[in-house]
Parts: sequence; structure tokens; C-alpha cells
Amino acid sequence: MIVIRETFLRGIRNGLKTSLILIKVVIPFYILISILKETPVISYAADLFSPIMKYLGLPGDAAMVILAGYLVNLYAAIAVMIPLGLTAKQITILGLLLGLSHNLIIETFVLREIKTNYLLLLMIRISLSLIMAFTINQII
Amino acid sequence: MNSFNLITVTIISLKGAILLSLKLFLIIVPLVVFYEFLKRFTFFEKSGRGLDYLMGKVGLSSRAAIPLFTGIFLGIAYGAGIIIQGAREGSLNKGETFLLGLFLATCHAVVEDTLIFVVIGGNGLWILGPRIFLALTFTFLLSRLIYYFNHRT
Repeated sequence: MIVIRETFLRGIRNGLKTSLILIKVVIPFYILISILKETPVISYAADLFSPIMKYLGLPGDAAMVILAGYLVNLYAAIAVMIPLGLTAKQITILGLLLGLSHNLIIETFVLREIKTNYLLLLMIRISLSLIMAFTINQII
Repeated sequence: MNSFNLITVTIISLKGAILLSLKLFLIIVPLVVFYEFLKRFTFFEKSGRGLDYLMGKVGLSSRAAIPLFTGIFLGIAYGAGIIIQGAREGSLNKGETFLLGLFLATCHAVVEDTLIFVVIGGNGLWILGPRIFLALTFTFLLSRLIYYFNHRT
């Protein structure tokens, strides 16, 4: 019985410790991005990226979807995406692109916590997502 | 945006941030407790050999199993508790940690991520297939490379 109690308590303690590590990042970034969404910053950034969208088989507006996915998460991206009325092929392209690369701020922070080369991984994810979107646009 | 709006947005987002933190907390704590029990009752040592063989193909040992599978199914953000802890305690070396990161960076939360795009009309095969393929190929190639550099004379 003592073993079970000890294990349980250790689980709670370690769980709390790791939750705190994450929560410390989640709260400020969540607020920062919510504020940014209310300003024109994100749509300016999207305008900047929209010229490359056509190489991925996507309309210029899709830059907003990608940015929302990169910075926040897939649900934010889908919320931006639904009103655009995309085709099934475009949804598939975005699905692969965002599957490979999303929620980058928080996920990169987790990778940093496991003490690995997180910046290299971040670059790999972003480049892979663009390369793969370009590639499947050609083949499907 | 005027100052009134800024305050409103901050308050609303603070509420959202706290809710999200609560959700993270509610998912991570029970998972870590579960993980501690598996570890205490030497589940990992027992499930050893078959898993070792499969994971060996991509240069990982069964020590990385729990963070790997948590990441694949739950995702990096929700699986964070176990990923961080498992990676720290599993005494993974530098190469192995990077391989784990590489695999998970390309291929994680596969069920949820794929389904939400399929629901709105995407093709699940094209969304998930390339991710699994990339993760396996990249980890495999890099692990060979690491092996080669560690064993050259």
C-alpha cells in the first residue's frame, strides 16, 4: 500500500512540475496572439506571404490559415479556413502542410525542454511543410 | 484598436489562457501519475524485446517508447508532461533525443490532426501518409548516419 501511495504522490508532484513549465509559456503567448489577432499585424503578414500561395495550389487568403496554424493551432486555422470555401484538394494540401507544422511556439518550447536542437527541428518542420504542400499539389 | 478594446481582449484571452492551462493540467497530471505506475511496476523492462527490435529500426531504444507513443497519439502539447519527463529520465543520449524530436516533429497527434481535416472534406490518406513516411525515412536515415559517425575508426 505504501508503494502505491508513494508512486501516486510522485506522479502528482512530477505532473504538477511539468504542467507548470508549460503553463508559464501558454498564458503569455495565448494573450499575445489574441491581441495580435485584433490588430492588422496578422493580415499584413498574410499579404506578405500570399504571392507564394499559388505555388502551393492555394488562394492568397490561405496565407492567413497557414499563419493561424503555425502560430496558434489547427483549430484556429480551421476557423479561418471554413469561410474561404476551399476545394477538397486545397483542404488536403492545407491538412498535410499544417499537420507537419503547427502550434509552433508551444511545441518548440516542449522540444527545447527535452534538451534537443529545437531550432533545427523548427526549421525542418517549416521547410518540410512547404515542400510537401508544393509536392502534393503537383501529384494529386 | 482603442484602449477599451485592448482591455477587453486581454481579459477575454486571459480567461481563455487559464481555461487552456486548466485543460493541460487535467490531462498532464493523470498521465504522469499513470506513467509513474507503469515505471514502478517495471512495465517497460517487461515489454522490452519486441519493442526494442521495432524501434531499433529507427535508431531508438525502448527507453524512448513512452515519450514516442504518447507524442504520436496524444500530440506534443498534451503529451508534453510525459515527453519531457520520459526524455529526461530515460537517460537518452543526445542523438537519441534528437531522433525522438525529429520523429515527433513530423509525426504526432496523428489521429486528431487527420480527423479534423477529414471531417471538413480533406483526403486522410494524403494528409497522414506523407507524415508517417517522412518521419520513418528521416529518423531511419539520420540514425544510420549517427551510427556511422560513432563507429568509424
